[in-house]
Amino acid sequence: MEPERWNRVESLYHSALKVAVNERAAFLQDECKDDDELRKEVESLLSYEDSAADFIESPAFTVAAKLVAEDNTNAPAGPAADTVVSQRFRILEKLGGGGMGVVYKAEDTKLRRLVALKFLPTELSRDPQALERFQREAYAASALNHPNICTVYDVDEYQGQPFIAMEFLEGQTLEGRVGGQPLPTSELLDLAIQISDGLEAAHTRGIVHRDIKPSNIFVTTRSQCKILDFGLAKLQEPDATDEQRSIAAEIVSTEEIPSSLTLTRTGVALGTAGYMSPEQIRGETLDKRTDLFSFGLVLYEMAAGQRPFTGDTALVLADAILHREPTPVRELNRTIPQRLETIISKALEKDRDKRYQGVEEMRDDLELIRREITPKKRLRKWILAAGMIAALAIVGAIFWAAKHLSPAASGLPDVKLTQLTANSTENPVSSGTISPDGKYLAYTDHQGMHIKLVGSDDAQSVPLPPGPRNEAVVWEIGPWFPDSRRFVVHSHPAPANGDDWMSMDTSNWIVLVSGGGPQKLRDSAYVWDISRDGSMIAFGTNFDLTAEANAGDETWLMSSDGTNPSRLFPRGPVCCVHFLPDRKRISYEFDGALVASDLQGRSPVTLLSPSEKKRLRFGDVLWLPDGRSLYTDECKWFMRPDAPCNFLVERRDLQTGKPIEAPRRLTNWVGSSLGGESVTSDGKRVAFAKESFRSASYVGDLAAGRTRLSNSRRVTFEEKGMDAVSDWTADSKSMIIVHNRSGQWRLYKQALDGSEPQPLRPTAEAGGLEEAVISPDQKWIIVQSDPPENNGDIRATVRIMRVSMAGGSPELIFTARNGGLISCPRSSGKPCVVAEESPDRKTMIVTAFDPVQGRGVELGRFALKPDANIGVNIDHLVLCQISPDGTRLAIARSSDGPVEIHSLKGQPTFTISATSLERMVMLKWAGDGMGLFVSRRFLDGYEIVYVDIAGNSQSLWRSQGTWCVSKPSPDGRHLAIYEVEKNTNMWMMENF
Amino acid sequence: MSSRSSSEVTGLLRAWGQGDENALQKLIPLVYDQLHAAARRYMAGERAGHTLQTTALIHETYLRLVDIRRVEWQDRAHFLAVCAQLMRRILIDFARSRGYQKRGGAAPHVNFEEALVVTAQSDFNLVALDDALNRLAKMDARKSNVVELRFFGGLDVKETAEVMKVSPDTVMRDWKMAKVWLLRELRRGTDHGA
Repeated sequence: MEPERWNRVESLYHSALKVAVNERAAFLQDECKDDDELRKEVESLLSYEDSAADFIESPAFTVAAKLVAEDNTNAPAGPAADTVVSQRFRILEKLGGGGMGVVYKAEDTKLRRLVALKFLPTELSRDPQALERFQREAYAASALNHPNICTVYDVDEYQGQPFIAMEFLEGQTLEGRVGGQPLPTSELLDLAIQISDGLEAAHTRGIVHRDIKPSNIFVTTRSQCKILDFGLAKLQEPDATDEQRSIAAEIVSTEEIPSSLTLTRTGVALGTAGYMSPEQIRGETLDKRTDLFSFGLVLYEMAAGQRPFTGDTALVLADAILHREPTPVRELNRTIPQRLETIISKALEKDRDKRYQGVEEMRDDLELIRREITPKKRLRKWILAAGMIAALAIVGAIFWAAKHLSPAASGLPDVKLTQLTANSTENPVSSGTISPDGKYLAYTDHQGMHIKLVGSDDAQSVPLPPGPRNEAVVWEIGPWFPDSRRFVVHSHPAPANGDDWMSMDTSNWIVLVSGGGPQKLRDSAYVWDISRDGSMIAFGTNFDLTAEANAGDETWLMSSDGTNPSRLFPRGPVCCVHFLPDRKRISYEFDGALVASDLQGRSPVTLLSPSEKKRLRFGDVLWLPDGRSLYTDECKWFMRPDAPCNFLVERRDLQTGKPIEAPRRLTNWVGSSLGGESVTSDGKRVAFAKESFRSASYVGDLAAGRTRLSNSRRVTFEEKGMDAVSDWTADSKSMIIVHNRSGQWRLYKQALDGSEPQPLRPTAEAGGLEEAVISPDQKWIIVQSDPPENNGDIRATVRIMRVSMAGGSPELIFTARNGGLISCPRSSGKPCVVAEESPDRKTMIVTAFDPVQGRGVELGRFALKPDANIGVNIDHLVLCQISPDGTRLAIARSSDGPVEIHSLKGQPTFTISATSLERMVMLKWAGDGMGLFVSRRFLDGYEIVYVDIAGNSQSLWRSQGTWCVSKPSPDGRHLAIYEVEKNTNMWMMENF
Repeated sequence: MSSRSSSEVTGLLRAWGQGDENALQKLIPLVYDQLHAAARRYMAGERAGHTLQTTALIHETYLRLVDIRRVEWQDRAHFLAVCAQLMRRILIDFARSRGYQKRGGAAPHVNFEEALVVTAQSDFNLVALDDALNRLAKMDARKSNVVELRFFGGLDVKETAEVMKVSPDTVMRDWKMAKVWLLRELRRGTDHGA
């Protein structure tokens, strides 16, 4: 740049800095006139103004010293890779190290699991007192068995160096997660509640952490929080250097605390600067409320993206913690709900008596906010289910099959169940309610809206208008009027991506049984309930997600003809309004409580407090005419095949909320989903929707050229339970089937001739075995085991196990991250491959492995591209398969193709492009390596396509299921197909 | 360092400032010793969770090496400039030897408090900064000097003004402008290199 020009840029830059930010553009426009380049140059520099604030402000020497420190930390010391420590832990790699010691990744050879070994720093291990304390604390911590606490397995020594063996975690610390930016409120609450759960478990056992800070909280790749280093904090105290003691003394002297109190060996308190509580600084005895203060600091940092107290020196910092009020969180982040700020302030009270006295109180308050900000229209959960299952319909999804336990031996009432609809998998029921006289069932499915005469097959269809703005809509049946001649329906704009349809555009309509289409009642409203005399309708105006965090919907009453609307409650956390059986009052949910009031919203009585509601796992309520309430325990949708979801009834005094009859369980179902209950006016029949999953495997014969699949037949050998064709034997005469019967996972060999399946080996794993692949040498079955705690999360760590074809227990080969997809060639002597996503999810890393030797060389890294069809593949999956001869990799950088064929022998890469390579969820090589079988996902199901290497495609199979993949036989003559079907139907329950 | 007096160091510095490359060879291990001492303090501070204090201590270590505040020289200004150049040369060589230039520059965000706390942020690309500083020097040598003195030399605004014989205001203006320009260069380098 010419010096004159540069001078001009500089002077303009400095002048602009003096101008208010919002006036700078005009100022520069003015100054630069037509010289756009000059203006752009200055604007560009100005845009770095903020980020340059801290840039190179600390001297280079300091930066370099830090680098040296890092080098020292990483310098090889301690056990080398492959060393077996304590005859049990095989060191795999060093994960890192810091002041509190060096951490290694290791394999527990006894229990075949990954562990982390944390070695104490040498200086500490030389101090016998520190050592004894270390062991005592580690034992105490090992007693803590909680999902939100990093589990300590063992404490031992290696060559005089003490170490702790603990749970191996993948993810990052909360410090890394926050990274100077506020977290979204929903994520913040989710993490905070987990942390409080972990703390509660420890506090209950009388263990105080003493060093809660973001770097001591781990967030796994599955967003699970784990508190680290319980008990370790204490270690630092006796090891405090003279320097630290003098600082502590200095701090304390400013507080005029007698030094005798603070300078005892154990009394010196120096938690991590910035996360100390006032009592820690004062050197007082610590209790669990200290952890709550530190937790408050962590919450603050999550909410504001910065620490509440800072200072250049420990002294200034200590002064801030002791005397200063932090900037209110909401001044730094407006999106934080007021109530969250209140919680944080309470946690940060200087006086511990004014803080929360127990973490459970704090957790309850956090949960209240979470409920408040969670959209809570009375969404028919089982409609949402379609969207959720789409989001999760990955390999893991297959094992969420419904498992039906026999209706109970356990003294359940003799409830009579009738299936009201017989919809197929392809056409699930999406909503439905029964008329008050019990004669009709109004319901919706993919084909439209229907009114069915209960007890017969007669049904009439309701003609449907287009949506409010002519867009596609999802229809949902609402409540009936007491005359049983009319009912309310809702129209929601159709979800763009299979997600839920929470929107501001819900309209409601009335449908007459006597005929005709829906008549519009109102836009932008959701009808909760209709009074028993039919005169009044309770509704909420649509929830406004864009409004202030505290906003909910407004609650209104109106006459049944849509006139005389009156507002019952202003915008707020009120939802799920129902008229009580006494006809004079309503119930609603408010702040996580179930509350009753009169029709003007006055004289509120809490029927169920938030904690009681939580204890009972009380979902949405259905009032029975006799005053009892019927509810489902809050079903954890699709989380586990063994997750219960059942109906219960109970009775309580509707004036006082006092329980009269204890909850009684009516059903005994596992793995099904229930929702959308409605009741007849005599209270004798309840209609509801029930959703269940079923798996099916098929095999067909491939025509020459793979243009057609014929003679397809079902190979599943049991209706109930799960079974999945996983692979073929080398002779193409048998399939390997993974089977789950009543919770036990087994592998079977099923011959093509349809003879009885042969059990291979039982497996001890209690989780889903996802894909089973036969090793090239035919000696092993390699299975990908998805631990149950993964809850079907495809990004979680999975175990790659081997099971000998000759028998034996499954053994861990290695652990793969981010869904690690395995594939093996057929040719003996060639390695299998595993494809994993890099931690930043931008790269697919393909590594060779051997069932005995474990991980081998890295074969390639491929930058991933985002998918174009967002919503089809809600998350990107790695797509990589090794060819049957082991010489080529088929990979896709995006689910929308193309497919690249990379030679492992140095041949040029080539690309297969075809429109049929969009929306891929799985690739499989044809046995001869001349093409690929591709599973493609659409909103309404799956397609299996054969694409040859020239890009010619042929559709072979379509499925309406929630998952569908193919398994070609090695000889290329057969194709096995595995799919998961879901069906949803309306049921009726009587005699409860 | 401990075995050598600060006068010996100043002698070496002076010699190097006059073009004696052998003096540099003797200075490098001294600086490295100090770096390691500082690193040990850093690690001890980290273990004690006492990072803020440590940061100050590290800076002190540096000052102890060059011992500038105690020595009143006629050519103090020249001496400080030499110190800064020395530090720049040694630290950049150190960073280069460490292979930092290969890492691709993470956005350099270092602040006094955080730089030493968050491991990830130590990906500070000293080598890229050095390159950018050379480019700046071609355009505006004074600004490049200001950065050298402040960042590599660890001088404050007043000292820098003294060395450069300009007003502190000018130093401040140069410093601000140079920082945004350099930061932009580094970010651009990151973008292109990605």
